[in-house]
Amino acid sequence: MAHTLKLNIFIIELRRKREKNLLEWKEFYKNTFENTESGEISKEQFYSKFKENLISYFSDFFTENEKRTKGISLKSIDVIKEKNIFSGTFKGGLTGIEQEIYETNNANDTKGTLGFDDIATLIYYFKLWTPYDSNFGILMLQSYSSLGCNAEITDVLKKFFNNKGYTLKLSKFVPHEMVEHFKETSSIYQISFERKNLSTSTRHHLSPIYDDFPNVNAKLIFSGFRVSPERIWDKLKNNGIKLLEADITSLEMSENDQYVTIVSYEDAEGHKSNLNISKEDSDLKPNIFLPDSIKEEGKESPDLAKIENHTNFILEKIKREIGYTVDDTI
Amino acid sequence: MIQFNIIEIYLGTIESLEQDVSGRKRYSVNVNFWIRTVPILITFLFLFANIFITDTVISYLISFISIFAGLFFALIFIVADKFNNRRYSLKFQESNKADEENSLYIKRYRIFSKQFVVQISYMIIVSVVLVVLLIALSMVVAAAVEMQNNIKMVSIIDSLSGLFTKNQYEFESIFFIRIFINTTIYYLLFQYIILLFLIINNLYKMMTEDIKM
Repeated sequence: MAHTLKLNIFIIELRRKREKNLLEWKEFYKNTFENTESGEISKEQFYSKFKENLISYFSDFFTENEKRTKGISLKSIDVIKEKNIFSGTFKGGLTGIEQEIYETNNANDTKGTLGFDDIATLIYYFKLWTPYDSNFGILMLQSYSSLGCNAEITDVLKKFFNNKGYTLKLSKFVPHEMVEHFKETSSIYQISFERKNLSTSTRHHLSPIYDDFPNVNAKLIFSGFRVSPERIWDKLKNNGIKLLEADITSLEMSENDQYVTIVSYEDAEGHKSNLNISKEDSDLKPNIFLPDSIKEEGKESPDLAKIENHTNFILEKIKREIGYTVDDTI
Repeated sequence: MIQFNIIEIYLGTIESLEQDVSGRKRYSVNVNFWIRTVPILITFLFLFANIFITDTVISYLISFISIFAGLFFALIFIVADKFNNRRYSLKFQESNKADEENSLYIKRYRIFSKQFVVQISYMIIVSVVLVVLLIALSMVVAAAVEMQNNIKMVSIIDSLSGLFTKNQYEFESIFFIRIFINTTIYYLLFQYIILLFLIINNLYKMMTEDIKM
C-alpha cells in the first residue's frame, strides 16, 4: 500500500483590508510594488518582486503553525510570466515532538532521534495562478493522503498578504467534471438531519440537563444502507416524498426549513464527501486524488515535471469552467 | 444570394446577442424575451388600442431612422478599424503579445467587434426595410383617404341599390394591408429601438475601453 497524492484547489480572492470590493491582481501588483521611486514598472518586474518578497517572507527557517506541530518552508518558486503562474515546492512536516527513527524491519535498534526542534519534511508542490486582468485566482496545493500542510501553507500566504495590507480569501473548489465523476461512481451511505439551537421548552422537554445550554443541537443520522444517488432522487421526484417524512415535532423538525439535511456519498475506493442539500448552491466537494503515474520513479513524492503538466491541464479545464477562456472557433 | 446574406445576418445577430464576449451562449432567454416577445407584445398593445401610424408620424420616423442608418454605416467601419488598431497597438506587440490576458483580450475584442458588426448590419437592413414599409404605408394611407372620399360620394347610390360596391371591397383590402404594414412596422420598430439601446451600450463599452488603453 502506497501513499496517495492529493490535490487541493482553492479559488482565491483579494481585497484591500476593510474593503468589500474585490481587487484585480494588476491593481494589487501596482499598489504593492510600484512607487514614486520605481516609477512605472513592467509585469515581469512585478512578478520578480512578488517572488523575491515571498522568498524573503519565508526566509531560511521553517514557519511553524500556532500549535508548533507542523512547519513549512518555501523550497523553490518559478514564474511563468506569460501564463501568470507561480509554481514551486514547499517543504514541511511534523515538528515539536521527539521521534525515534527505526527501520521498519527492526523495532529494537534506533537509527537516530528527531528532537523537539527537528522537523521531518516532505515535498509539497504548489501552483498559484493570478490572472493579471482578473479579481480571482487559483491556488493548487499538493498533499499526501496521510499527511498535508495545506492549512499551514494557506495560513502563511494569508499572513503574507495581510502584511501587505490585503485580505486573502480562499474557497475550496473542485472542477465540475470531477464532481460529476464522483457522483457517478458513488453511492449514498448516510443521510443526516440537523436542527440547531433548540428552544428552551424543547430542551427542557428532552431533558432538564440541557436547560442551561442555549446552543444545544439535535442530529438525526440514518445509516446502514447504500444506494445509488439516482435511485434516491428518482424516488423523491416520482413519488413526491421527502427525505424525512416523519413529524418530529419534539425535536422542532416538523418543517423542511427547520433543519439541515446532509447527504453523505462514498465512492468505490472509500473516498467520502458530504452534500448539504438544504443549501441551494451547495455541491459536493470530493477530494482530488492524483494518479500514481505522477510520482517520481521509485518514490512516493511527485515528479515535478509530471505534476506541473498535470496541474496545467487541470488549470486549463478550470479556466474554461469559470469562463476565463475565449471560444476560438468564433 | 442577397436573401442568403440577409438570413445569415439575422441569424448571426440572434447568435451574437445570445453570446457573451467570450463566445459562450448565455443570454438565449433574454434574447427571446427582449428581441422576440417584447416587440410582439407592444405591437399588439398598440393595435388593440387602435393606435395607427399617421402621415405626420411616418415623416418623423423616416427622419429618425435615416439619421441612425447613416450613423450605423459610419460605425461599421469604425469598429473594424478600432479592432485593427488595437491588434497592432504597442501594448499587444512583441513581448506582451504572448501574455495570457493580452491574447485573451484581443480574442474577446475580436468577438465583440464581430458581434457588433453583425448587429449594426442587421440594424442597417432593418432601417432600410422600415423606410420602405413607411413609404408604402404612406402610399396606402393616401390611397385609403382617396378611396374613403370616393365611397362617400357613391355611398348614397349604393345604399339605394343595396349593393356592396367594388370600391368598398377595395377599401376593405386596403384596410387589411394597412393593418399588416402597421403591425410589421411596429414589430420591427420596437425591435429596432431595443437593439438601438444595446448598440449604444456596446458603443459605450468600446469607448470606455479606448479611454482605458
